Amino acid sequence: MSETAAAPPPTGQRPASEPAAGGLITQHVRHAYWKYPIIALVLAVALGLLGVFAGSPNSPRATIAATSRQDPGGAALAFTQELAGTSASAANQNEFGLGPPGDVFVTGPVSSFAPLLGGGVAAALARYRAAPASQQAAWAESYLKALDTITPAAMEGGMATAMSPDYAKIGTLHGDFGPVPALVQADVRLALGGHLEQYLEAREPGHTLHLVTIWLYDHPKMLNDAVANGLTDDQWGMVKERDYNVGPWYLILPAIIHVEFPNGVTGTGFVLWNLLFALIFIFVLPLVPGIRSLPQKLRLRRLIARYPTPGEQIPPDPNARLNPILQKELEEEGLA
Amino acid sequence: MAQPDTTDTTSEVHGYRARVAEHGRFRAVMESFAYLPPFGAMFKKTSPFYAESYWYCMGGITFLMFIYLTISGILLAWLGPFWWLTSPVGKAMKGSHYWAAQAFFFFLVLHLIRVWATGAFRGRRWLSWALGSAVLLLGLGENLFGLLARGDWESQFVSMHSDDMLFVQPYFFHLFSPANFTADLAIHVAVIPVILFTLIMGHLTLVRLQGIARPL
Repeated sequence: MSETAAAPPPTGQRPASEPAAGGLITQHVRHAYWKYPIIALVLAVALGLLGVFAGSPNSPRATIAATSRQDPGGAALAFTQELAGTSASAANQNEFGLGPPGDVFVTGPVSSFAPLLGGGVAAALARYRAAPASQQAAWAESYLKALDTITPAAMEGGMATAMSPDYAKIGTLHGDFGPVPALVQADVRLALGGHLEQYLEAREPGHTLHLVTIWLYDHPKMLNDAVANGLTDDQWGMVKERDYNVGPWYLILPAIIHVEFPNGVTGTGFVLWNLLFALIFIFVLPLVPGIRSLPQKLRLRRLIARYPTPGEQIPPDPNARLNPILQKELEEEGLA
Repeated sequence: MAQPDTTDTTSEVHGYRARVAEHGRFRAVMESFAYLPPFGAMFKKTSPFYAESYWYCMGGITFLMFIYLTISGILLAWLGPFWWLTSPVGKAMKGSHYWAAQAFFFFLVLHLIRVWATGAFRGRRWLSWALGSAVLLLGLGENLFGLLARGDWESQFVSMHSDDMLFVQPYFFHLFSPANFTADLAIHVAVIPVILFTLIMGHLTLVRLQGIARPL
């Protein structure tokens, strides 16, 4: 990046045609710091313009009320699964501050709002709590099977989306469900009115949005939306954004591991594969003989180093000396 | 000519008048930041001719993007999620922050290619390579928590997906959940940036001490 000097070279300056160590000009020149403020300004303006005109991913967040209004059958299914212990959130119940999903998402909020819900909700809750755990599970599992009978079959050949029960038919179900339907339908009312979201936010104020997000993932809609937008595991979702064309492309390596590698889709497999690649990157590439000399064999530095343009004179070294470390290394190599 | 101290900005070699005489007033003014406080003592004034290539600027531009991310991130954190999700100015600032992250990784990858292709990881410089690698890997983690802290639909979905993938495992003793927005935001704006900054400072210090690697 040094400038061409038209005048004859002063002492210590050598013409560009003179061969240097390794074919490169190792002489020090004044570093072209003057370009840095210009680069910084150009990048800042570019980022500002991109921020204004390209924006960033901002797909509106889901809420319990909106999700339940769009798919009340899915909400009923999720609440029943909470009671049966088969929801996705069953895996989260050991996290700090949480607990059994049936308590957190169904009996807890229904109990809190029981005086306002009216009808037989308080009695249903009392009956449910008085029953042994095995009976509670049997009611919930029985109701789950009944919900399955009013759930449309998934379309053949389509993506693996979960179907929701038809909420309009939920009153037609008959069986030994105990108080479960009353609790589930009361909770659906709370969800539709936005009260469940408020309850979950107020219950754990130190866990902002925590419980809300966990329940939304129990509802089939979130995963269905992810499938529809190509964001799941087998759709390279890791490098994509919803409703936005530019995603985190730099996650391509973990994405390959996640999609293609054995057990890469599991937590442990994903961590171990990534750890292996990190170790290869940090230790094998720079340290293992043969591999560490690969760039030297490929002579890639020819594409990177600055070479004089035809007729260019190399300016003198302002310090008239090499960097001490570089000087020492060149001396060790017999190049200086 | 006596050997000048490269940090001595008043020397006849690196002083303003000497630089004007050497390359003209425009360049002398533009590069004053590298010769005056507070940066004057931090930057080396010369480099090998072969390193006067834009490829050798990629690390510096990556650091510049880190600074841009820090400044825009402080503004975003100061004014909060409601601002960055609803206000046109907030959305633009969030967009700028997002693109700066894209640029950070873009220039970091170019810097990585340059360092590898020129063999600048060899010998005592391995430690600098390891620190730089740690910056890359931790930067990916910072990116994940930034995504979780955005507060949009993608944050909700990815938090639960990564929770199922990684955090329901006992690695973190069940103390942490990415579905917890407060924790995500605190980790993104306070915990990881401090570690990243420390690693980057270590990396830059080593580069400053060791100088530019000799040619392969």
